[in-house]
Amino acid sequence: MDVKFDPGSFKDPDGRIFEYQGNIYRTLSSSAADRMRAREADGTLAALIDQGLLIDSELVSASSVGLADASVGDTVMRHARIPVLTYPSEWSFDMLRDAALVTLDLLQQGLERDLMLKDATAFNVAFHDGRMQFFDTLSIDDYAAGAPWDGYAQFCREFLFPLMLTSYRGIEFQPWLRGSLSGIPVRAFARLLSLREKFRGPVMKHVVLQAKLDRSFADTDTEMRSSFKTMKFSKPMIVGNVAGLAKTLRKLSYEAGDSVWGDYASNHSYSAEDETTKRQFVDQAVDHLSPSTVVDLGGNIGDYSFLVAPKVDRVLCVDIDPACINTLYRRIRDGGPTNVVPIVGDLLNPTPALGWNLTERRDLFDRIRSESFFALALVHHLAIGGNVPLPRVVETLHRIAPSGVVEWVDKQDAMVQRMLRNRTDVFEDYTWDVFRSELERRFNIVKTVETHNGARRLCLLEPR
Amino acid sequence: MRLNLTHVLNSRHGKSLRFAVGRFPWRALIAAFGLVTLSSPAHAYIDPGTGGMLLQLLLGGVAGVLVIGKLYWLRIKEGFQNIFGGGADSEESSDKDGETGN
Repeated sequence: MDVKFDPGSFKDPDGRIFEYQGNIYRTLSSSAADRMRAREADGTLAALIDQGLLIDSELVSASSVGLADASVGDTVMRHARIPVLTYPSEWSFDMLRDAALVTLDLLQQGLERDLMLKDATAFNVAFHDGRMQFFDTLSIDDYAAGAPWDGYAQFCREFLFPLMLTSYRGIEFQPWLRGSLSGIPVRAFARLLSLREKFRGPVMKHVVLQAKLDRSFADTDTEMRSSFKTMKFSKPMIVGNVAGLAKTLRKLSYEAGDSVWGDYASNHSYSAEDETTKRQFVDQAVDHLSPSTVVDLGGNIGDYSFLVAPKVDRVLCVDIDPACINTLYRRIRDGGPTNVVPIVGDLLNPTPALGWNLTERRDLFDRIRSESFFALALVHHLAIGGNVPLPRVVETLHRIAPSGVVEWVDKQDAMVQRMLRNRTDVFEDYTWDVFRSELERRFNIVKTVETHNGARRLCLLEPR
Repeated sequence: MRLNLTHVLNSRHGKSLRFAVGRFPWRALIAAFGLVTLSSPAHAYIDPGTGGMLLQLLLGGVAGVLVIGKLYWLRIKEGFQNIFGGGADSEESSDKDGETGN
């Protein structure tokens, strides 16, 4: 029986994710199965799914889906499959904020039904079908009267602090979340803020005071849980905190100050004619290759991803610039194609395997491998901007997908000239001839078209 | 509020608290408070939930503020006892988590 457990799903003893015959399931301990049956019976799951907060999930008997002999219990939960899971460090500002708001909304509605979220990690949420959706159903627990919200500090570390860091300080949060899977610790974050910022109401409360209390009592033996009972801690206090957090999050603004590519569309070097040529070339390339999945590397705000989205099952749009990916996410959220997945990713330093045993979170390449790639106006950034020799660039493109469209940008091109303006040209091998012969080692070049008066070349690549 | 705090603490720590208040010089209080507010974390391992739990108590209103106040007060007392030595008998130390008083 080919049951494949997800190596990243092990923290909650109540259940584990596994894959079986292409479907995604979750095992349920007997108490979790009882809880989930109750949530299904009282309509909670359906209500949350209808609102788009919770990913499609249903309870099924193991025997009805061919899992009778799989030792996964009598009842399992079946989830909609998320074809490509992206991580918080690969999300843009609005993606992380929407994930935070989904979490708070779920908690708020849960409290109305005497339910609680037992944790509040950003890894409970995924980008799926054009929006942020909660998928860790087992996090939905019964509310115990008088108990605090245990996920509060985690919510701050994984959502609130990274968003404040970007909004208040203008520092993009992605490298911080990649560096630490559990987010930014409160005491560290308190040190990052200026005095002026510390006097903002929400900062004083959630950062300064929390850090202060943590510093004072984390290393003591003082038992605090009983204090909540003593002081008659109640649900309205959690509701008030949750509402306050949602209001704070909605007020945070995102200004992509140092974005390299945010204005790309308005100041790139394409003439209208060249752009039409390029769009036609890409469109026809997809018709020719007819891939079901495409990864658009260096996809900017997703113009080419959007162009081909109606013709394929899925497009992954990867870009190094969080501001571009944020714009792309907003375009998708505002009615764009929902089969485009926005990913903040740096090909020169892609998300590595992370977490326990290096199997808890998968590396970027492992997740984005597709049938075709687009590498439009990208190669010069890798080869000249990143000093990666052309053979290695081509090798990596081939590793990501066996076919695709690549754009060659010659040294005489204005963009390359700008990249070289302050440095010695050590790129003797950066020539079309070298590039073409490297391509030919791994692909069949079906067609090439020149643009920019010969300074750029589009190449359609078939599997060799 | 001050009365309430005294009441809360008295009810839990009756004798020992009155003893401490009776001979409490202000300078020592300030010095001890300094210990509480300026001391740096002792060890690397941190309970990540502590600040989060206590902040929720604090946001919970007057009762929460009193609980936090009491926690700080117990630290002051502890610091005071450490400075002047010998004050912390076994009954006092078990008192410090506030659950075994009376």
